[in-house]
Amino acid sequence: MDRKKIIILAFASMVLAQFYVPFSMIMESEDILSEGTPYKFRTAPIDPNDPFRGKYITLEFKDNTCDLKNDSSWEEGEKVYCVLENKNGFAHLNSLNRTKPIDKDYLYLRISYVVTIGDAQIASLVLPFNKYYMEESKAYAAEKIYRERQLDTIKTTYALVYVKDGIGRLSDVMIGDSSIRDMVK
Amino acid sequence: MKIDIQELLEAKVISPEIAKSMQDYYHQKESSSPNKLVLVFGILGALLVGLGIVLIIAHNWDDLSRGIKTFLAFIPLILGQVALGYSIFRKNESKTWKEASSCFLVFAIGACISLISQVYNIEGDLGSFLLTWSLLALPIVYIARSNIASLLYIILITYFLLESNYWTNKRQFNFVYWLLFLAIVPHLFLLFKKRLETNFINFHSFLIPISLTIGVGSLASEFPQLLIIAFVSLFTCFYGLGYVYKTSQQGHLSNGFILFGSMATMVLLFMASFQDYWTTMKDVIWGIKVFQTETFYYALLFFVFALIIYFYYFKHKVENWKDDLQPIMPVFIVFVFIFILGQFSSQLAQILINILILTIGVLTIRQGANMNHLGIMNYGLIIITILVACRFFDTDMSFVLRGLIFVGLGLGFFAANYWMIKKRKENG
Repeated sequence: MDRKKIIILAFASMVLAQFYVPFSMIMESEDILSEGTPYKFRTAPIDPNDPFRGKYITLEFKDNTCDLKNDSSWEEGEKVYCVLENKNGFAHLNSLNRTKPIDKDYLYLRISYVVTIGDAQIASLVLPFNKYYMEESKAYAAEKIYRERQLDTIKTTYALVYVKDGIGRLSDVMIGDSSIRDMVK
Repeated sequence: MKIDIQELLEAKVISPEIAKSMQDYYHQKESSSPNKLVLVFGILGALLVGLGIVLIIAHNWDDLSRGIKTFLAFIPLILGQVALGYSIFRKNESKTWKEASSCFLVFAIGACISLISQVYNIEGDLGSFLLTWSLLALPIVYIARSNIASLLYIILITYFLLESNYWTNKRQFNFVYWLLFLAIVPHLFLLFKKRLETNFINFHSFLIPISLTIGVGSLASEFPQLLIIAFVSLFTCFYGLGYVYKTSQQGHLSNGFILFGSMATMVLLFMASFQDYWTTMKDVIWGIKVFQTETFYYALLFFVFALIIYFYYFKHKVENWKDDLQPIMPVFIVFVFIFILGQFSSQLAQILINILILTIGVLTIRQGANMNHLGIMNYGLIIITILVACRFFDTDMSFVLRGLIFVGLGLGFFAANYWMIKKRKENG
């Protein structure tokens, strides 16, 4: 093969690779959003600024802990399969596993720390879908609305997350029954 | 040049045939070497447009549907790829086209990935984003032989390392960073070996040491004190490498390896010239445990690297070692001895480091004087001045004495510079 052919081949593979990565991101996300099970995670947000990705709301989750049922073998930083279930209409982290759960919805999460409260061992987990992107001009307004509504005990704020094969995709942030996107329009 | 050839022709120094071939040679050289200004503006333009696109995308337009946003994310990428393809296959000889489109494509890749992750709220830390970005940018370096892409790549992998081992997580051997760095080495080797593109060489010569220094800094796990040996060896490695590729016409200031290596070594030596440094160093307990740590082997590895570089330098570049031995070169070996002594007596180590700095200062002044180089001579004077200033912090000298020493040093500066300028005038 001459030099020119090699360059053409290399260039073509480069172009393919540069397309493949964003495409696979899109395909995976579309699959999760259409095939996954929706869960509502109760939240509380703040708003930092990411230099690369514009403005977003950072979400903090109320139910990000899991009762370890006196099993002390779990360690900080460990990656685990966490079984999900619905409790009063909201997502609840039910139990931790080292193997993939079968026939149950689960998330693949990292343990941020383990604490002992009384007799109970409790693990705090990092829920990774904690960024909700907003248009630059609207992120601040959204955050303000959100902060006010946090004090409002009647309306619950939550993140709508679709879960499939251990991955969660954040699809919307809701205040009561309306999307935060509609509230700042 | 044309006038010179004409003159030589008229004076019958050269024949018409030689004149013709000389003219052809220069004509050809002119057309093949790119216009530097056009190149600079081409790259700057691509850089600004690229950054601009990243910012516009960062706005995250809410009114556009998900499909349109996704489609828009690919436009800069496609534009960049088409431009690069055009410059490689159609405009093969144009450096400006190649560098500008490579620069643009690197930014387009980052913009595309970040827009997609924005549209789908894809989690993922900055580290993995930077990793994907640099991996997709790497082929541009080799396919287009682009130096600007290589500079951007080094910045990306360094940022990746900072993100994954400095600011978050703990410091440990980051296999991925070193692998990514190794991937760029063949390109760097050719760039420095061919010596065609001086400006790009100069930029690389600053960026590479910075990146590698951060890399070595991220290695520390157990016994971080031992990493000092790795640092001293690394800095002297840079210094040596700088002299290996330095040509006689090149100045010291544009040679990042020499400049960074020399200054970083001096900063480290000045730090080691304080008592406190050696009292904290004493934590290193010699014995079997030290030899079991990773840190020890890193230190050893870089020490061996430094030895290899100097062996090469003396074998291939040195005619008269007395003239070519630079003051900083033996520091890494001397430092190891002082470091070992420091485990037994911190005071002795401190005194020896001070003597070492003083010797470097004096040798640098002497070298500056011999080379008739004002910059180097004053660098030596500055080294001694900083040494004296540092010692003022940890000694109980009276103000009068300190004052007198500074006045003396100041006069020394005047005298040395005056003497050198006078010598220059006498010589010509």
